[in-house]
Amino acid sequence: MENEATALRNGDEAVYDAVFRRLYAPLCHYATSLTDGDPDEAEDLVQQVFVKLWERRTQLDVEFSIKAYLYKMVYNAGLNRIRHQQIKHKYQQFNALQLENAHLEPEDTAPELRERLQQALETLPPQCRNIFELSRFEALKYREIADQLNLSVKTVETQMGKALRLLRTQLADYLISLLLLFKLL
Amino acid sequence: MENNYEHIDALIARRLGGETDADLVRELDAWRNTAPENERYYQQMLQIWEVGPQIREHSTLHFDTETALASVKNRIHPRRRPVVLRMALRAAAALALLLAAYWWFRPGPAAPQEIATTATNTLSDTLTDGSVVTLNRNSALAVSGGFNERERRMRLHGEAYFEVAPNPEKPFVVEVERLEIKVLGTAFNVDNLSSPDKVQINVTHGRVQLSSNGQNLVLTANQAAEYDRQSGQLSMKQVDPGANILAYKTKQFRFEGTRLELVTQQLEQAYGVPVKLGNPALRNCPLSANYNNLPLNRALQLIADSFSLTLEQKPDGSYLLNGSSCEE
Repeated sequence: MENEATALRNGDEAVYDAVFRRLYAPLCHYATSLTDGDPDEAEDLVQQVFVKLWERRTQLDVEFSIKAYLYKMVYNAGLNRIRHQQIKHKYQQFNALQLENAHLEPEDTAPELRERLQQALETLPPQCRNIFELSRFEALKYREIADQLNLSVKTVETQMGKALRLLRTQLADYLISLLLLFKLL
Repeated sequence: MENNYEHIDALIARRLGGETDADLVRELDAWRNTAPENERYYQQMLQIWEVGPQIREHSTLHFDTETALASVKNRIHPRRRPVVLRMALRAAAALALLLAAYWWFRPGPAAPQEIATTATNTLSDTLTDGSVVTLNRNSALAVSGGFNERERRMRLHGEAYFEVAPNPEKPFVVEVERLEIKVLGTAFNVDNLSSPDKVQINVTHGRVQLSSNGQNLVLTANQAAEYDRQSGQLSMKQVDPGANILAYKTKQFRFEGTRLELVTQQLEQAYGVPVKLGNPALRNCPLSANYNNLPLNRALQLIADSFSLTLEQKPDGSYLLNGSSCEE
């Protein structure tokens, strides 16, 4: 993505638009987890971040992926917002998110597993959950996650392993039956 | 057992994350082949890994990217409106001004007391005379009923910064306990929070007259005074530029060899987030720096970098700076 950052630095608006179209919705989804599940506030936050991206385009580090940079900005903006509100209960956000997604329509191959995974995620320690979501929902690399959260890559890997282990324990019954099926094939 | 799993779990996480390092792959494959439970364990982790992204794909939230892009582009390059619309807007503004003038000057009964109160956040508000007040946390401002009729009088608890709209006809008066602060010019800060026995007044522009028990004191720009709650006495005070008295409003900090303990106290107060030092040896580290409206974590990261300290955020949101000493 080196070219993208360079093009942005040079004020290429077509590239800016392309980045916006590609990342706006995913960033809003992510921001929702930082705004007590409020999608409107999430959109405000992400739009402010994009305005800042344009204002600071000349300072962009071309070595850094734009995507990781935007996630980091959204994360920081979200933290500032949360701090501003003197940190409401973190669990409140989780509940709001859960309600928001409660009426999913089951339709694909493993809807039940997906729903159960979503519920199980609510029970993870916040950092564990955040790392799992940044990796699996936002497709960020461990390096990028480590950079965003000011952690070492090793910690991120350990936390990711822990997240998988805890989720596996919770979903064990369901996963085992699937595995039997797996073996028959 | 627990430790062993932690190691294997991290290996699996790395492998699933795309790591293809030969040693890692060999170690993991060997483990998977040791026992069927191991292979099953790995397959289950893999399954969770693969179902993860589906949660996002099935979200019911929808975001309208094109509308948002248009709105952001508008903020990036505000377009000039067509001439006809501009004139219409100007006419509307003039009408609004007339209505506002009628509202200010209309005779009639005094409006009830208006009160602004803050708890955990600062608040900036424009008074009806155009003056702007920034209230610090845990502060309250009561504006008297006939505000802006003969004079502009209000009562303050806590701390506030006033940018007063000039109007020689209507004195701007702030009461704090038995102290009366009358504005002859423009901008000043009243700090009724920091000290249990003093109120501190700092003037940034213009002139302010203080009155207490018949004693009068006039302050001009960059002067400060203290009011003693017990005796009601007023005294001039040296302004300390490193005290950053307006930082709660501006988030601008100037440190000149300021002790780290004071720095963290000031940041803590301005941002409302606890900042702790992990080691008493760090209290006296001298910091010289200017921070201009930075997010708290950035400012703290800069401090950590300049003294080779570690910065950690706790689950409750507070920060911890730690290290053995302050090497620069």
